[in-house]
Order: sequence, then C-alpha cells, then structure tokens
Amino acid sequence: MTEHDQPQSQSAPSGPLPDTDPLTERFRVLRASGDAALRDQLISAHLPLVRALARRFANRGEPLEDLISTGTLALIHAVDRFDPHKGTKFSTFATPTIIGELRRYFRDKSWAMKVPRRMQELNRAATGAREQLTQRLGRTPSYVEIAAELAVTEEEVIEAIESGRGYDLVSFDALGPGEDGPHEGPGEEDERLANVVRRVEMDQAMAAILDPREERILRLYYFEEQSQTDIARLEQISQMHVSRLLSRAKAKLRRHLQG
Amino acid sequence: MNGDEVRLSLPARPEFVSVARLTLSALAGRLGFGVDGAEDIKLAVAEAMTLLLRPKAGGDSVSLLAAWTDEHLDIDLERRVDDGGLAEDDEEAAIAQLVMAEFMDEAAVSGAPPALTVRLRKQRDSAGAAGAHV
Repeated sequence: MTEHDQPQSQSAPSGPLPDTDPLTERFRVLRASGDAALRDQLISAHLPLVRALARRFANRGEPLEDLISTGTLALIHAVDRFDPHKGTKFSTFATPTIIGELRRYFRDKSWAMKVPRRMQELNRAATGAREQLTQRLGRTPSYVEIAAELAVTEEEVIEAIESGRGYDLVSFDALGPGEDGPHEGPGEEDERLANVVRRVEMDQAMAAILDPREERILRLYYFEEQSQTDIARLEQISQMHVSRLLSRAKAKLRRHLQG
Repeated sequence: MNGDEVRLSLPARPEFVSVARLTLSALAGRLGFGVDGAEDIKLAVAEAMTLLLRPKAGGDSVSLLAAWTDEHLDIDLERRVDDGGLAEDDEEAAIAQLVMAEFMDEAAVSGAPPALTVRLRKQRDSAGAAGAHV
C-alpha cells in the first residue's frame, strides 16, 4: 500500500435505480396518495437503520434510547422529504440526514467540552476499581475486568487511563525550556529532589535544636537572602552579633546533622 | 513533520477494531485534532475496519497506514480479498461508505482485486482540529 495522493469522495451506491425498485415504488405511491398507513410502514421499515446509526454513537455517554429517538425524528423528516423521482436510494438520502441530526444532538449538549471531564471522572473511577479489584482478586485486574466493574467498554478504560497520564508525554531525553544539555535519565540522582530532602531535614533540625532567634536569623540569611546588616537592623542588634549567632547556629546544625 | 507515518498490521478480526480506534485516537490527539475531530476519525476507521472484514474469503490481516502533511491526515486501510470484495447489493457496506463520507472530508472504497482498500482523508484545519501541528 502506498500513500495516496487524491482519494476520490465516495459517491456511495447511489446510481439510478430501476423503475421496478419496490421501495422506490412505495415512496411514489406515498407521494401520490399521502397514505398515512404507508408512511408509518416506511418509517417502521427503516427503524433498523436508525438503530444501526445510533449505536455508532453509543459510547459517548448518552443513553442509546435518546439517540434512537433523535434518529427516529430525523428518519420521519427524511421519509417526508424524500423524492423518489431523483433516482437515489432512500438509505442514501436518509443516512446523512440521520447522522447530521445525531451530531447536532451532541453539539447541542456541548459534548466535546464535557469529554475531558468525563475522562477525568472515568480515570478516577478506573483507579479506584483497580485498587478494589486488586484486593478482591489478589492480583492486578485486566482492562476487561475494570471495564466490567465500571460498566463501560474496555476501550474507554484504556483511553481514560492514558488520558490520566497527560496528553503530552515527553521523552526522558527531551530538553526542557532553557535546558541546553541532556536531561538526567531514570536512575540518576535528581539534584532538585535531593535539595528538597535536605530542606525537609534542615527544617526539622532547625526547629528541634535552635532557639527561635537563631532559627529566624538563619532563615533570613540563607532562605530569604537578607544581608547580615539588614538582619541586624531587623533584630535591633549589631552586625557582629548577627555573625556570631549565625556561626553558632550553623555549628549546632552541623553537629546535629552529622551526629 | 511531513514524511512521518504510522503503520499497523492488524489481525482481520472484529476484536482488533478497537486497537485501530485507539491508535488513531492517540495519533489524532498528537496531530492537534480536537475531541470532535478525533472522534470522527475513530468512528470512520472503525467503519473502514468493519467494512474490510465483511468479505468472508480474504487475507488474515488488515494493513493500516496513516500519513500526514501540514494540511491533512490520510489513512489507508487494505485487506487482500479472494473474490473481489463487496457484493453490489451489500446494504451494510453501502451504509458504512455513507457513514465514512459523513465523518471524513474524503472517503473512497476500492474493491479491485486482489485488494479491498479504504482511503480516508481528514483536513487538519477542519472543525475539531486545533493545537500544535506535528
């Protein structure tokens, strides 16, 4: 198979019909007579077409009965408008009409705007179901089992779980904004994470072993990058005193963290 | 980026229709199609797969090629068939063709032996397409 250049629009099987086509003949009779019973028969005869088309939209979270009702209204409209003298099959005429009405139904309900929220909800539900099923089954459940638990399709579960991973998965090797070298790969130490760990340990140590003024001065100097002169003014002590307090606090912390 | 493509070879069985749908769903998202556009593509691809599975005698696999330019996404699906493909009076196949034509900008079915081929095209700037182009 090769990449195609100009696919032609499918004109569907809509060529001229023989005059003997029984369905077309019935529409001709309907047009001539306005027979209400015949109209009802023609509508009933095409309800399977409505159901077949409605089912194609069935995984979008709307009740199938509502879709069939919407499609049926479009079918009635098509039966009333179909011109049997134009030489096309009724299904060729009715199918786009019914699909158009179904699409309008979803547009009117702002379906596309609700999809991300529905995916989020399904993602949360799938996560919960996975945990419950893992406990119940004693093993990790399959997508099929999660889908059965949530009464949705396997495909919906997969899409919801994938959407929860974010739409823009990037390579581990991809460069971030402002980065000009290779990103650290999995298994390598993340310096930012290590800093966070150190910061947590430092916070705990400062609260445990420093007196309030030492802790305050240390935070101002190292975390808020205030100068010793600024801290001296804030604390209403000399800059030399700030320097001594900083040295004492650092020595306490060092002993604590090394010990 | 032009010249990129995605190729799949799927077992010619109904349970693999969803694999094609999911793959195209992910690709449509990657290419910047919105929810509506991606759903149109999924629906048309499912329709195409189902249509290709209708002939009883045929190859065991369906090949799928998705290729794109800045303007459009093309999806070709093909299955080898032994008897030329679809019957003239196959009403289901006729409806499938109408459905694909409704959801894509272009849809063509070719039953020339030894292959049955469906070619679909969706414009990337049509309704439902948005976001960064790849």
